[in-house]
Amino acid sequence: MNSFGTDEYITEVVKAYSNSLLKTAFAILKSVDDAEDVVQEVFIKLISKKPIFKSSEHEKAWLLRVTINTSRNLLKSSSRKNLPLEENIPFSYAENMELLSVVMSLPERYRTVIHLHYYEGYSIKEIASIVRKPSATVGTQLARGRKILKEMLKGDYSV
Amino acid sequence: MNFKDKYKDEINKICFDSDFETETAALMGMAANQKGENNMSGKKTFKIILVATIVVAILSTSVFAFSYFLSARDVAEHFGNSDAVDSFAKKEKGEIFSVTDKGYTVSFLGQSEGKDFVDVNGIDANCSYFVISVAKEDGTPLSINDGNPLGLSVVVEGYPAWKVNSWSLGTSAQGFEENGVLYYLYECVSLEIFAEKNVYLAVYEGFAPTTEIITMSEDGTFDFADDYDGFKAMFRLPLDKEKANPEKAEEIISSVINAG
Repeated sequence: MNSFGTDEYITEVVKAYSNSLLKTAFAILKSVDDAEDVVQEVFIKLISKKPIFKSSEHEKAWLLRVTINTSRNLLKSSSRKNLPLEENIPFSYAENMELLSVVMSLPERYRTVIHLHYYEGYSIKEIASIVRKPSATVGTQLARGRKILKEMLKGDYSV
Repeated sequence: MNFKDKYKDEINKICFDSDFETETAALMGMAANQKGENNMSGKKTFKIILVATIVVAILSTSVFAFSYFLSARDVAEHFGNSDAVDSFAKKEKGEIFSVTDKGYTVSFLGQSEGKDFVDVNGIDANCSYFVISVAKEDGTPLSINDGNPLGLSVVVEGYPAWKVNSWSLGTSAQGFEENGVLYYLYECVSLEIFAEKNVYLAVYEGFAPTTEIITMSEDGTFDFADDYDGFKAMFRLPLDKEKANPEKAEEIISSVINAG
């Protein structure tokens, strides 16, 4: 692993984690621009706070946690809520993104867990560690999200 | 196709900015070079008395400062250095530029070159110094402990702001508060050498001047991004075109751009 804060480290960490972080932020914010803003902020926090990681898995988990928290803070922020209608245009899903649009219609707490499980491949226990919630809570959120998806997808896909 | 594969397939179709990784790495590089509060480049921190001395010298050329914000003599006496006002090379009084937007008033109070200071230890003759003030439009006092609520960067016409800016040019900043108004003294590489081009002091809400805040047209001129809705000010620095050094300027710009 390159020394923290060097150009080599920065290039390596941005290349390694941008995709995961952007997709996670998008799953919460449903906006490409907001996702990019959040993930840039997260990477800058990484450099500013200089956390010490035991492993690359630990590093990724930290980045995901900060991405999720920062995205949720943005969702809650009053400035976002008070945007004029023309500036708060929802993401437009293409015709070949029907399943994605269904997932994105879930409440945030369900779609975040669904995303971490199905896209990132994390177990309930691992997700609980990332989002700092009890495993039971995460398990319930995943189960409820799956149930809603089954109803909405009408058996088209095995969830 | 099962749910997992279909979900992955569809979310992977979301397109993000093709420059995202490059731009993000550049911003992280700037953050990595920033050490300590109010110090963009990791260079020396001015002793507060020197800050006051330099600010006094610059403000003494400012009609606006005397009339509205802060008397140069008041600052000097506050820091116990009332001789400072008389100890500098005399300069013609310059114009003051002030912008009020989004509840803040930001004023560019003046600029001096290091070589214009006489017998002041700690001044770098190869650097430029400039002072800005930040105040609340409604007069609510600001506290230096809360930091500058606005971001500031030098930008050089013809070069993308996210690439050539206060961080990549190596700028140090130090601030103090007086009567609820924040004053910041900036030291950076001599800006006179860039005088062949227009050099601006951009003030905005944010950390570094990303393309989401400041855009550059094909002709090299700057503007604030259409979607950007924060504080906006762009002060053109009054540089002496006769002092321009295009070769030196290009050398510095090339080293910044090639630094990645």
